[in-house]
Amino acid sequence: MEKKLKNALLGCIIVVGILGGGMMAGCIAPQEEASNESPQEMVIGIGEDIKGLEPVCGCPWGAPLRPIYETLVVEDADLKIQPLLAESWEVSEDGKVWTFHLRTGIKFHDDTPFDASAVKFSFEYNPAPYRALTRYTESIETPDEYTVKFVLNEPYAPLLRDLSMDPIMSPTCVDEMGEFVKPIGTGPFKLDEWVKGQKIVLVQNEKYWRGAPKLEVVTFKIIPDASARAMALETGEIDLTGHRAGRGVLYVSDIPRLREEPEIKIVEGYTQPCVNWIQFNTEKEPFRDLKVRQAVYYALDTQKMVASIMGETAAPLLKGPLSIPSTEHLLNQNLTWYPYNPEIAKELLTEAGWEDTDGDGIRDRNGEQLKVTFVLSAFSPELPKIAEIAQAQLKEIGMDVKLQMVEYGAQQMLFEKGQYDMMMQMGVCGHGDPSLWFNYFFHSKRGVRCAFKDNQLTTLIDRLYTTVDPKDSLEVFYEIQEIMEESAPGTFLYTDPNIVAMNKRVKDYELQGGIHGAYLSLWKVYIEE
Amino acid sequence: MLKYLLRRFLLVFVVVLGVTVVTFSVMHFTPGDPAEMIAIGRYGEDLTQKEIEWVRTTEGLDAPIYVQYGIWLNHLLHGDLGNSLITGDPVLSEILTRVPATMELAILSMILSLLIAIPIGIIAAIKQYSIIDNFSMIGALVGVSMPNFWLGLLLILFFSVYLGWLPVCGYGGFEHIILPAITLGTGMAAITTRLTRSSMLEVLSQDYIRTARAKGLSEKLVISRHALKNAFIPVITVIGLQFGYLLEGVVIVETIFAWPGVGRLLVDSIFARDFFMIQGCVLFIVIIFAFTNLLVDISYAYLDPRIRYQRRD
Repeated sequence: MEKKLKNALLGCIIVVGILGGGMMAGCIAPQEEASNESPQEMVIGIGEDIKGLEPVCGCPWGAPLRPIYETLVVEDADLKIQPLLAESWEVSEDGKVWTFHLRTGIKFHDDTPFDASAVKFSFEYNPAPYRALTRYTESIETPDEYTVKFVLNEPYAPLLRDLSMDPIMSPTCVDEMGEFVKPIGTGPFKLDEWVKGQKIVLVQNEKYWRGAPKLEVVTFKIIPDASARAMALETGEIDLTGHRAGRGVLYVSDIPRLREEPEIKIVEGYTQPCVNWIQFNTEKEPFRDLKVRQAVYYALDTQKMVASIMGETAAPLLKGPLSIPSTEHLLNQNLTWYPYNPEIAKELLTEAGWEDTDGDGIRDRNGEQLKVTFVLSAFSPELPKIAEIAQAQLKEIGMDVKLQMVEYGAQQMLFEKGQYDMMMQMGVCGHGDPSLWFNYFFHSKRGVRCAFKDNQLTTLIDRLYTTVDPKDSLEVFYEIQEIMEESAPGTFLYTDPNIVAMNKRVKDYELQGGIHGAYLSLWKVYIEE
Repeated sequence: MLKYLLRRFLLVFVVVLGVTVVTFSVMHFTPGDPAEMIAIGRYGEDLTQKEIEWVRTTEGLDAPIYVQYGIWLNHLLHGDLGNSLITGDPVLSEILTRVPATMELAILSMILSLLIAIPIGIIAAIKQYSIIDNFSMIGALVGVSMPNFWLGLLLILFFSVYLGWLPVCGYGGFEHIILPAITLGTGMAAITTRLTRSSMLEVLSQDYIRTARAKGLSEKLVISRHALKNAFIPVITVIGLQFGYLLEGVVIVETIFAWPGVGRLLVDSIFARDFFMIQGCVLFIVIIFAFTNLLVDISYAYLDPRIRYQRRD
């Protein structure tokens, strides 16, 4: 027996040794690329892998593909639409026919010429839900080689913005059977290698129409943990990280440290009008009552709350959902909204019949206490802290708030069933036009998450979608804000900017608008020696 | 022995089947509309109800759960784990590409934990209540109590950011595996150290050790020839069981260190509600766990004849 035991142990040791040795040898092998340091090589840290190589739009994870595929138009740093693959465009009087004149002489990576048929192909290959625009498209016409006409069912004002997210692919991306085989675009970079779960490597397209990019290689390295990503930037393992796309957001708590790092610079901007807000369940008591909603709005010291949790990295929305720098031109300045005033809040509650009759600090009405449930999911570590402050501030006016932290899916289920009083809402900010956000949360028919059913608001959002002239749509935006202020469907808290942190050696980087705006300037970026 | 093996093997099969039923139903009873979650994972948030319904029908999510499970099981029996709901890639090949990374990490962590735990455990037992003993037991307590994600970040901060010796994260050369392996290995080492120590102590108090000493053998011989082997039996069992702990640990450690293994695949799939991928990952982990246990049981019977005879009845 003893011998057997000895043999077994010996066997174990040998197996372990072989495995260990083999493993080490296997690991060391693919390392030689790092030692041969190429100067014009950039490594970008992202939190989430791409889900495929097809050019689908609107999804944050698609951002690393944007240096491969380009769009007809693009949002610049000020969220203004600029020409890219389309040189110019015009829209018919009724807003239903959009004609784009394409840039000539551009070729895809495999020398397939870029022309109108490629644009038509791209939209027909990936229809909705990949491309929101195709929901409104009746037909795409190609009157000549370099002209594309989008004929719509109805006027669709956000069309240009949508196009800034719609990548154009070469018809040679697919085989004869129509199956996608390889990613071919017109962009400054070509795909070299995609190692699932690890990295996406792009190499320069020497024949790029704006001139060969200075960067030779761009590697997107997948690092899921935000803290690890921040540390990788500090050690120089990656050159750039941040931005919402690809779950690249850094923790707010890491930002001050990165700001102080001498080797790191931060580029930030409100390039996506994302609103973080507390939505009220207006379908049931107590928030069916406008006075109670207004009371909550008055009771929350939004400015202080946001400053204490988000530091300098967020803008409080003191004048409604559009009061951030990038949508300031749409802001209705005549509205006062609800500046922090707990006294008015208390009065409003009293007017609504909620009084503290038993002296326990919580108001009641007809024997029922003012207790509400606040549902949120921990999308970021800051949200629960914000909710706790709100809870404390509402306690001051005699409202007892119970926080219910759930997973995102559970939150959506509670929303559908109406089992909540207050709910933290966020997101839906693909590009610079806030119409999408209004449509998503406030259109009583189209909105997937209609938070507040109001006929007038629905009509106005319809008008927003069909009013192509920015001057006319401004009036609609003003009116929408008026209704929002009057009806207080929620309290608007803050918008966080897109923050991109990078090594100081990264030059000529520009943060552009939209969901994929982080990587649109890579064609001109270079690394200083 | 054969009958015993057969029975154990059948039991493993039942366990695996049971776990697939549980994960399948848990996933489907998780709050939230799966079709919507999948649609968001694929196309982003800007969706219409019509498109969500389209996902539901095309992916067969409108069928009752037991029908969905039946279909899945039927495919499984044909060796098909289905396709990812998000990327459309075959689940099996995706998991297989991730297995080597997880195995590298798991095995190295295991080796590391044994290299730490066994010598320390033995010394602590021999020199009971000495400074070494006390220090190692405090160390073990800290090791057991420290959560992986915290230890991982601390190690990165110290070795990568301050000292700059090792990369923060990623997969590649040997230097990449050091920190994740330490993170995983030390937690395990803590448990093994304590067990080795107590097992050694128990053996050292046995009569045959006293006999060995009495017949004039040197302490070294007593320890190495008589005590050690007997003390190892429970230790080996626990090492086997710890493989389960290891697979649990990789889920967290792989996420922190951006290690492209099965654990991270599981986390990503859970976030995306990629049912078939989750099911595949869980199946993989369960099978590994069940078979390690089986292996431990067999080796246990092999190492200690008393157990073999008892169970044979």
